Amino acid sequence: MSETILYLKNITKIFPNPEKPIIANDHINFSVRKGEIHAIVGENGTGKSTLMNILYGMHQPDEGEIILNGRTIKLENPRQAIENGIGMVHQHFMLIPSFTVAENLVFGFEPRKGMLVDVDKANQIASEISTKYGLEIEPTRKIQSCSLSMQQRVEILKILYHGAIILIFDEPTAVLTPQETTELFKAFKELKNDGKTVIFITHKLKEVMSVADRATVMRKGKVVDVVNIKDTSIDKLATMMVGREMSIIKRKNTIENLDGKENILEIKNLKCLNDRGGMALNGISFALKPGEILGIAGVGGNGQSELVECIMGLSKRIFEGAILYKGIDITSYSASKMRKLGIGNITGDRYRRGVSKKSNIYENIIMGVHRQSPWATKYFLNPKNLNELVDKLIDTFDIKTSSKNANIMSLSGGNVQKCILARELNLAKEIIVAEEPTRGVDIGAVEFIHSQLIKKSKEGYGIILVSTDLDEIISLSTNIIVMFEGKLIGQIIPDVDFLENKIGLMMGGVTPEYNSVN
Amino acid sequence: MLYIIFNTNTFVTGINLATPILLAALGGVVCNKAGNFNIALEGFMLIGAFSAVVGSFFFKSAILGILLAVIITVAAALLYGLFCITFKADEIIVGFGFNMFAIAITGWLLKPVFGGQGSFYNPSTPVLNNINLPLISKIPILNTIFSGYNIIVYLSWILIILLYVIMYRTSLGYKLRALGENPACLKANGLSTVKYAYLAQAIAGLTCGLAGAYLSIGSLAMFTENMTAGRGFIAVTAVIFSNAYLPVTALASILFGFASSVAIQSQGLGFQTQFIEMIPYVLTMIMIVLTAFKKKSTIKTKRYNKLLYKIISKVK
Repeated sequence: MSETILYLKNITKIFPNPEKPIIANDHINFSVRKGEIHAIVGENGTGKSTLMNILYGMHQPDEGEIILNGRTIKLENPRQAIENGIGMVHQHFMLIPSFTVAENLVFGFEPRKGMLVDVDKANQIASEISTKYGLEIEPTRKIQSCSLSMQQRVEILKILYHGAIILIFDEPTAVLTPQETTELFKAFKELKNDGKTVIFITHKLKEVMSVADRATVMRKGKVVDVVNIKDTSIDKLATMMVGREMSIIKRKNTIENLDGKENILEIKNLKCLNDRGGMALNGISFALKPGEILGIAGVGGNGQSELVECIMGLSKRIFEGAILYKGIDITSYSASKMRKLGIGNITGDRYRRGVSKKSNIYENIIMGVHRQSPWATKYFLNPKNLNELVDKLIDTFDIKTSSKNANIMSLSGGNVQKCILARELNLAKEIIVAEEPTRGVDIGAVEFIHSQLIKKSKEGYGIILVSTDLDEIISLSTNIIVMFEGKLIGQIIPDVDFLENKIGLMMGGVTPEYNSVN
Repeated sequence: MLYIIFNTNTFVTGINLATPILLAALGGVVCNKAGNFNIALEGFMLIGAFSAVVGSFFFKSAILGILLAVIITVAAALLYGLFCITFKADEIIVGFGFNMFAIAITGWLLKPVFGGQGSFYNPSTPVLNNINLPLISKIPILNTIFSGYNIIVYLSWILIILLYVIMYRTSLGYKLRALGENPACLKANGLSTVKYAYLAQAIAGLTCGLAGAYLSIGSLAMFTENMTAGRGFIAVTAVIFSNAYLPVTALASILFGFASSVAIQSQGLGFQTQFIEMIPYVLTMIMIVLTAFKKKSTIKTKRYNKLLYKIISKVK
């Protein structure tokens, strides 16, 4: 094979975090050969983007070095990366909406005529480079009126104009339709034929199989393996990505027969837009029974958070489908009405949506019940009952605090999460929606939260558990569905062999049918 | 009756009244494009007015007065920037605070510097000379309308064109506008966002310094407490109204000046002074309401788009 063009040696990157420092990259060795298409595969939060941002000079590694063409280089900012022939197409495009395509393309390296920017020259450059690489653009069109795929082409041409020989793409297909994806991959091959090196980040295994020459699989900040695509299969990749071949996760929950029980919550063909106007949910249907923990697995950003927003009455972008609560259509209910129905919401995004950062523990725990009898009358709170409630909850949920009047921010992450758990389990009547309920909390708190959820499900609560942590899904759920690109790609009862493997394939966008055919 | 309101005099007064608003608004546009909604223009202008009169009085030169005003106001604008950019404080709060600070410090400095209180007037302090333009001053009517102003008026006209060219035709302007729209884009190119954010403030300091100098040493060398009297806020309105598009901002500022001028001329028709003085502010309010309506209609268009999307996706 051809020689190694780039070698990242022993890269370590630690992000300081008040709760616990996050090791994004743990002594990573990563090499790319000249003229190959190299995929970096892994679940969310495995440090793929961090590694690429280090390569592009956006982050500085705490340890390790970057060796380009046999020479150690220091990249203190993206400018130096550009000068070394490294270009990056970010997941969120770095374009200026009110500028034209050509102006965006030359931004930072504008052709000049005296003091002024030579706009005609810029347009000329844009059309020339566009013809050269066969990527179609309209130089004089404003970016804000361009489609996402055209914007991506502008980004690609921009880095080619910068003279890039190594092109990095961060989740390039996330915003594209299948046809546009095919077009993009054609462009990748063109670039390869032109002698460029392409690195792209993805978690979609089919894409890796169809376009890449080699793949580096990452998991939890480490490189698992580097494989030649010719010598591997989609199953092997899935196994590596998820991390184990045999089931080693201990199931904490037992499956009971729920036949004959009526659905308490039903989602029917739900469609909803994301904040950029794209499809977030594309026809989701499922039902929840009492006593069930329905695990929703999937790589983050495949519509899970939008689904939770819809169920909790926080989404205003539902345009089709219905949410039924015991047969009543509650699709258009507001968040407070949903909560009055008794739908509790445990969120892992605790400081943004879970708690009010400026309030104390007492106030945070009574939120929601402060409008309900016996804790309040129509106009007044009942401090005696509320105090009793809060004391009881702090005691039963073992929230470690000096006083219930202390600010919520004085607690550790795990204890804040317990406050949310206490509040929501107290409020919930029949349904609990838990989204990443144990994100970033310590192992003790994880155990506690898991046991509480199982206890509630045994009491007859229906629980929807959305999590990108596969261990959590497998150990708690009685029924698992997997989301991929806003759709349910498959459903699985967790009592089969090779469970992680099967879920892993579905998370990578491989449908169970595809699996059985191969 | 119309002749009383619309004569060459109305034009001249209009331009005189529009100049400080125009200058401040130009600075406001640059800040706005660079991602800072600057409501401290009023404060900048007041500091400029005070420094101009100080410079003119002590150096015995109106031009040095302008120079001092520009230097001090740019420094003040950078101080505002320190809070907004480096300390990342809320721009509205900093802006409000800065305006109050400007009133207080100029009012307080009057005594140690000039020994007076409330206001300062000294007839021997040099003021800016009116300049007749070489060619135009020979043409009747046009000579009264376009000629015979002081240097700051001509500078303001040049600045409209100059800033437009800088913002839309130079590499620097591209970077300033990129900063306002997508700062991450600058970072991805390895450029400093902080540098350009401060630069925008410095430009606002420059234009507001000129605006202030025009007020205090333009015709009489005089400074009174809070002498800007809301002109900076009218400039902010012009920025909002024009959606920070420079040519429209300039037109809006001139319109404010002319409206005030017409109001003054119509005093001859026997309206009450208080009523007349109200007119520019009422106009400001009308413009803000108009802008709000305009924004609302764009929201409606978005809703319409969503509806369209629904229909299309159903057909599919």
